[in-house]
Amino acid sequence: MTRTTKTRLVVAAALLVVIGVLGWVAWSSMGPKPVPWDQFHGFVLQPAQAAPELGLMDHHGQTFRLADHRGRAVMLFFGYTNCPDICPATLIYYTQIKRDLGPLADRVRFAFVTVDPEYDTPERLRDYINRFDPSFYGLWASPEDLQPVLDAYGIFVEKVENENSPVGYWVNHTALSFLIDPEGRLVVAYPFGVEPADIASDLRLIL
Amino acid sequence: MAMVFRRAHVLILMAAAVLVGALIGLPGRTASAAGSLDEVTISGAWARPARAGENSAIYMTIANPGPGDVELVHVETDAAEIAEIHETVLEVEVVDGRFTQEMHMHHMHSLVVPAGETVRLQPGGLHLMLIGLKQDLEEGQTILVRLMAADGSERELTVPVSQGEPRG
Repeated sequence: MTRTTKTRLVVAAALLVVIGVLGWVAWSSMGPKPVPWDQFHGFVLQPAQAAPELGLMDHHGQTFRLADHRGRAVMLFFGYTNCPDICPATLIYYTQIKRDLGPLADRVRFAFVTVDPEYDTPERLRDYINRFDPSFYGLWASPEDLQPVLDAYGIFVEKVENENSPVGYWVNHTALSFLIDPEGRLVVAYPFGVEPADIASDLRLIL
Repeated sequence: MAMVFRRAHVLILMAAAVLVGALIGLPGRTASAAGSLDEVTISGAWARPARAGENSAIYMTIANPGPGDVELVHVETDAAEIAEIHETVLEVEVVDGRFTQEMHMHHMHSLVVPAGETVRLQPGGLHLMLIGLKQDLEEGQTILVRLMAADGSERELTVPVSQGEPRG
């Protein structure tokens, strides 16, 4: 082996090392990172499982399936249109999350499932949803079809008579917002009251 | 659905209302001299949009830098049949991997803003409930609201109808 060949081999080896290091740096700074679940602002559901399918009718009369929205995150809330405080506030928060996300909001679906399908007709739901943001989904099913969905998400629903309600009752219900990731997994449950800006920052971590 | 929670058995008492509630109407609480609504600063007030016949709610922050507790006892507005002080109490708990929640709405006879303190009326907590709206409340409108305190003082507020606390 001549001296020149030896030098060339050394240079080639050094180049390979440099390329390897550069590649590693690029991968670690720009490649996919593990999701920092401990930074999320709700109950992180681990291990994440496939979100139970909805198959409910949206306020345009189309069937809403989670499977049709892969590649997008879904914020899911269960409520009713006569809800005096929590439900409209949640939808107002959703409008703030959407505004906060800017163009990234195109990759999020916001959905509201009525827990009072007898009173909340699809028409009423449409009118209600449009007051907040027409791009949100108002989801409805007959009481028989709705029950399995409520069970799957662990949603508690109880009608309580009250003379102050425009319809004579309030509906006590679980007021969690669920975050379903773009792969269709149920990843976080937010109790009511988490700041919209915090949910928006969580969404940025998975989009 | 079997769920395993990283933060299991976390009890979250939602709504500062619970804390505030503890300050309100506690028997044996030493009442300082009755404060006046003239002393308080009210900021960030907003009313939620809703249709005639439905209910709405007003939220705001009340700061009381004065020397006496201010006890809000009555609310009035021409926009609704009835206006009352309400409190939503929401408790979320995870038991054996399942969520349980208790939600209540209380009608309160009065709301005390203690001397030197600030009370926040916000969704999921204290609010002024408007029952039986006489008109549609559309975003961009304002409604006139009168607050009355135990000492007889009054405060008239112009509250914007808004999707959330007005910004800027």
